[in-house]
Amino acid sequence: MLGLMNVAALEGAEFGVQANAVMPMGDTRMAAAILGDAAQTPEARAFLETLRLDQVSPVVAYLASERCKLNRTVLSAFKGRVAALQAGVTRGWIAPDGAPTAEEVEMNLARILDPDDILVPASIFDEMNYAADAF
Amino acid sequence: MITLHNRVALITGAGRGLGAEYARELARRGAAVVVHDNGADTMGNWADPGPAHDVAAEITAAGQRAIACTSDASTSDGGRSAVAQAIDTFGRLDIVVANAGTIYGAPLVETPTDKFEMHCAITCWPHSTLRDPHCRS
Repeated sequence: MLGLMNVAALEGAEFGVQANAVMPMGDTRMAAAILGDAAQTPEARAFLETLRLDQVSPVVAYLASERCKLNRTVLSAFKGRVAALQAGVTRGWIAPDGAPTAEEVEMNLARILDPDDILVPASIFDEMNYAADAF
Repeated sequence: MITLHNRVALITGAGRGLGAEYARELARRGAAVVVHDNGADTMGNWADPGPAHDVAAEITAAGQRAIACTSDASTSDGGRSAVAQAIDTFGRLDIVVANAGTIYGAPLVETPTDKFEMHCAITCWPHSTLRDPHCRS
């Protein structure tokens, strides 16, 4: 879904199309279907009832409006909290000999995964520029 | 205040749950809404025009603009006919909320191929919308 959103935004730009996504939670048939039989317990029912649908729809109204300048953005919305999901790329680790061995990848995972100074790229070109700084 | 006057929105899966709430909210803010839902259950079985028509009727009863569309969102033809209905009725299409989806309720390895393919088709439905020549003008 995220890839499709990105392509719709990138290729839709020349037609004035913006594409964003919402990750909602609400007390719906779908939520009950995910939980299966567990949805029928009083505890599950009480929890689901806290997830009101009118806590999500304003987020969609904003995304659908002309005031929305966001593009390729994923908003998570439930229980009145609105947050953004971000997929980023880390500074990473550079193989000293130009090409890493599989063992070196394993050995350097801590640096490869280090979220410090993470970049949320707008495009592959952003990521290439960001990586170029590291060399 | 954020308004959607003179805008037309197509919302898939708008017959119930969150999709219906999106339809009400966008209509309340001035958008003309195509309430799209074929009325299938959460696994995508059967079809029932009732939910889409009920939500559209509720919105128009509140003095706002809506029509129901019950085409099958898992097919290109269903997507095209929904877009055509928006344009034929309201003259344009500005907003697509691709909300429709299915849940089979089993791990992936136990999900039949046809159910998985239908799920992909429904959730990837904006593809056929964006390819519609109407949406490029």
